[in-house]
Amino acid sequence: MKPPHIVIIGNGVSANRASEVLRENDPDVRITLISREFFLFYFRHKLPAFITGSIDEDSLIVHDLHFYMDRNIRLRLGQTVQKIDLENKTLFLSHMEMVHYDKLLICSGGQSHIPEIYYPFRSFFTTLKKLSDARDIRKKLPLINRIVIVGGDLTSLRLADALIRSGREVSFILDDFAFWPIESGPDIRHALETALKKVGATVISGDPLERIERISDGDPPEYAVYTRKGQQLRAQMVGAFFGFKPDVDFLIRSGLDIDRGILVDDRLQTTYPDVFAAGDCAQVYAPHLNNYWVSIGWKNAIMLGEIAAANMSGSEQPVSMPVEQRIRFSDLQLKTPWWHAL
Amino acid sequence: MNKYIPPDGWSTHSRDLNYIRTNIPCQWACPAFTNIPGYIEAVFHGDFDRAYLINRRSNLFPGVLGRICTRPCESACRHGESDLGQPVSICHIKRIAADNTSDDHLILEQLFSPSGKTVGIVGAGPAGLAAAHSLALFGHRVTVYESFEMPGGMLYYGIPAFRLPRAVISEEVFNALRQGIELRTGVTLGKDIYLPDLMAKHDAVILAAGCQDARSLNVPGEDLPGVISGLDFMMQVNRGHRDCVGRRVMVIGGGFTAVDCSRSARRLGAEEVYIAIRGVEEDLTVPVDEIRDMYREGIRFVSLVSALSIDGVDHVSGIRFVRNRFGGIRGSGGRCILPIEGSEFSMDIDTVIAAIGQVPQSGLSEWSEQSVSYNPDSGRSSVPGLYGAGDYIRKASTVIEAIGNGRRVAENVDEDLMRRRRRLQVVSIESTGNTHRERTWDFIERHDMPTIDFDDRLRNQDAEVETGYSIQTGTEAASRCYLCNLKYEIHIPECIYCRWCIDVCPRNCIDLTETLNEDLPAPVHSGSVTAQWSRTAGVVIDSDRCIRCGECYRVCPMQCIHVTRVELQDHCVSREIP
Ligand SMILES: Cc1cc2nc3c(=O)[nH]c(=O)nc-3n(C[C@H](O)[C@H](O)[C@H](O)COP(=O)(O)OP(=O)(O)OC[C@H]3O[C@@H](n4cnc5c(N)ncnc54)[C@H](O)[C@@H]3O)c2cc1C
Ligand SMILES: Cc1cc2nc3c(=O)[nH]c(=O)nc-3n(C[C@H](O)[C@H](O)[C@H](O)COP(=O)(O)OP(=O)(O)OC[C@H]3O[C@@H](n4cnc5c(N)ncnc54)[C@H](O)[C@@H]3O)c2cc1C
Ligand code: SF4
Ligand code: SF4
Ligand code: SF4
Repeated sequence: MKPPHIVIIGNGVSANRASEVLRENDPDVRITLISREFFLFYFRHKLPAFITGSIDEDSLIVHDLHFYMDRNIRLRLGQTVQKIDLENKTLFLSHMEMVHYDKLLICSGGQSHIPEIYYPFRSFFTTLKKLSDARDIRKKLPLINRIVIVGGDLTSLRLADALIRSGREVSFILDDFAFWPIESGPDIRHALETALKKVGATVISGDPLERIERISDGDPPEYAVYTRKGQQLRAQMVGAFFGFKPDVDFLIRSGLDIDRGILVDDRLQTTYPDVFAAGDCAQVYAPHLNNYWVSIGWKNAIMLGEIAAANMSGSEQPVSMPVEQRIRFSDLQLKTPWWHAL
Repeated sequence: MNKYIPPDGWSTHSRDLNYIRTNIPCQWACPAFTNIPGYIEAVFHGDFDRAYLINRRSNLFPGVLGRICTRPCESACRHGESDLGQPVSICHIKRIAADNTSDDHLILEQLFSPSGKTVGIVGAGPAGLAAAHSLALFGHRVTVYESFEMPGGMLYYGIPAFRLPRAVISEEVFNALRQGIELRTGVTLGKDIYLPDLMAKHDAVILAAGCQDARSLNVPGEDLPGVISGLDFMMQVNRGHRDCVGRRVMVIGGGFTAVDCSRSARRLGAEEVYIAIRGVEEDLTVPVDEIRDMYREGIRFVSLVSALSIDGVDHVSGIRFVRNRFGGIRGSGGRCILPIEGSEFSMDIDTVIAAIGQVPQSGLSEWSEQSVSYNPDSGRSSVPGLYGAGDYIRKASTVIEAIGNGRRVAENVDEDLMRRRRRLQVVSIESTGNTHRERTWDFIERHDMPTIDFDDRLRNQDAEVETGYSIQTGTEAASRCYLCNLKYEIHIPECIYCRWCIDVCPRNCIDLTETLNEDLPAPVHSGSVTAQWSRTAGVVIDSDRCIRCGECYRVCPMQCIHVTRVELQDHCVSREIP
């Protein structure tokens, strides 16, 4: 009889860590990682440095192919899972292939969040989540001098710093929606403002985005960005940085329980016994918060990947809330249990 | 080897009816069977009058539905299959037809001669009006009894003006009543009139009284001042009361009523508005555009909670919840929702709007002390001559379901009165000799509905939020429709098996088959697919996957791919179809 097939959706940090643990626990199971992206597993936090050219693509890579060969893990890149038939334990890939699993771990990560009020301008926004986004920005960058960033999440701070160092003018329109799903409020906004000004950005605070117009289609295009109080900025690129939200759209109506993310119990199991979720896409109930939480962050994704893998191999390990850590950006210090200084 | 190619004309063959079911998914999903590709094509050609008429034949209120329909058709639309992008914006296209009819456009009706029969209808909501309109066309004398001062039911008293301007309702309701229907407003069954008298007066009576009793929350504190039912709240708002909310409002429920209450409360000055739902956002029964609008208006969801109690001394001051978790699938199909022990929490609020559903008024249809039962599809009841329609017999549903049901019930009343079926569903078949589409149109993205600015929404609370597509956008949106009413068939005797069509087909839906099953109630024919050339008996198109892109038609060297337009139509007959 063939050994059971464990399929992991995703090739990010939680998926990779989980595959490693699964292999340590059982030398025989068949393990397959499926990822929509064409690239090997890479460090997402290094993307800003890659964009401005201070590092090349090779330095982004975490594991090369030997990692998978040595562990007998099958890696399928550039393949998108389109839907799941939970009753028949089958995944449907977008190129019309069906893949059977015995156990499934979903590590589909996060996607850039655009608040509903700005939804009409989504086609004007540049976002940064994947290497393909970064490649795109890096390609356009030589022609670009003026950049407006709307939002102000943790990713955008690092990007702004890198862009300013490379000689670009960066203006921020700070927004209360930046730390989705938490509103940042005036104190954090004020601290952010000071920190950003210190690295050389122009900052508009307390005057949110009203609308964006594309005023020329040239290369690069030109945008006019208006705030509610009537300020007008010109830019060749408008970045939207409002944090990440779970990338679970492909699971809606699959039968899995989806709220903001995939609802899992404290063993990271979904309502289907052989289906688990870990990393940025999972939503867990935390008794000490008396609320559900979705964690977005690298180390936390590692921890969840490990726990899910252990539980898929038969343990009964509950998740615990990660310890709060300080992260610094210029003079700004934030405490978060999820996002870590990398 | 000849195959079934229906001749141009009418068909009532089950095979052709079945084609509609499996191949025009939007039309089949519409509770009124609106000929969607038909009107979308008319919009594409700029013929808004025709598009309006095609719509009105099935759904009576195109301008209304083009704004507030729940769009079951869009969920079924082929363009929305997971690898094909987003569904066609069927509803927005309907609206553009309604908004742009010419000033002197004709409303054509198929009118039977007077029958001498009379029908009484209780309730002038969408179901009652649709039934009244159909019965008037059948030649019967119709009287509608309505307890409110205005006709329209929940269109008028439930749905707020910022989603559905009152002028649109009055114009279309007026047009529905124009066939000599007598409307008596301010008349309530059970108070001003009684069922036995109505039954004696009319040859048939239809109760279309909707669902107007609010379900209660059944939690302590529900009677405190500051707690109001969703329907009462919307009725007050729609009657012009403007001082019915506080500053921090908690709406409980996940349907239209809840969403409308929350958006209205925001417009009436509430600073913080929350919607509490037992499950998750995915369960909401409102279209996603509207959820997006809610977010834009600053309304927040509190998901996975159940109310435990409403707190306060002489007015609401807070609400206590417990958090929920899902506990697997119940036997009946729904998900189990279970409380999480120890997860209780409170929120400070000053208004609670309980919008957890409505039920039909009890006791309306008691008849000789026996309670009456209804068939929710046919509307016939256990009492001869008494019928029900719409939400009253089908539980709270949607406008389009109420209209579809009202029309069907009217057909059944007519059949019982006249002892024969006088309106039939038939399939019209017509060869087109053209694909009517270009492949590039398949790549156009769905267009967002433009809306007014946030500040304007608060400044004028009745201002319609959605402004409608421009004609240019509407035409482009219409070009996205695959026109699933076009049927692509390969005429096998002429085919030379060159397989060019297979090479160009982007959906991989042309197959070599070993056998040809011609008598199945299948669309065109099907057969068992083979990869072996020597066993091939034919080349067939799987219409269910086909996106009518026309690539095969254009490439075929033998021109043996035929395109026919297949449409479901209502056909009025005074005698049996020959
Ligand atoms: C620019 C940037 C900077 C960051 N900086 C930091 C930092 O400094 N500190 C920190 O703690 N965190 C940081 N993060 C966040 C951190 O990278 C994420 O929290 C972490 O990568 C989450 O890992 P994951 O395994 O859950 O998912 P991801 O890494 O997001 O991986 C998701 C995977 O799922 C695949 N996938 C998704 N859907 C499908 C589908 N339908 N079919 C097939 N495959 C699919 C994707 O291709 C991808 O491989 C940063 C993120 C970015 C983008
Ligand atoms: C706030 C709200 C928002 C909604 N939004 C939408 C939406 O966006 N899209 C959608 O598709 N559906 C929506 N609905 C649902 C939709 O309005 C109903 O499903 C539909 O109106 C049902 O039609 P009906 O004719 O069966 O009943 P109703 O519209 O309820 O009409 C019943 C009529 O009967 C009259 N009546 C009742 N009792 C008596 C009596 N004893 N004597 C005389 N007359 C009587 C009533 O006054 C009323 O006019 C909404 C409902 C509400 C409450
Ligand atoms: S593509 Fe057009 S005809 Fe086909 S299902 Fe969608 S709306 Fe209907
Ligand atoms: S029209 Fe022809 S080529 Fe296009 S999807 Fe249908 S069968 Fe394939
Ligand atoms: S292109 Fe025409 S002739 Fe060739 S296989 Fe297709 S239908 Fe037959």
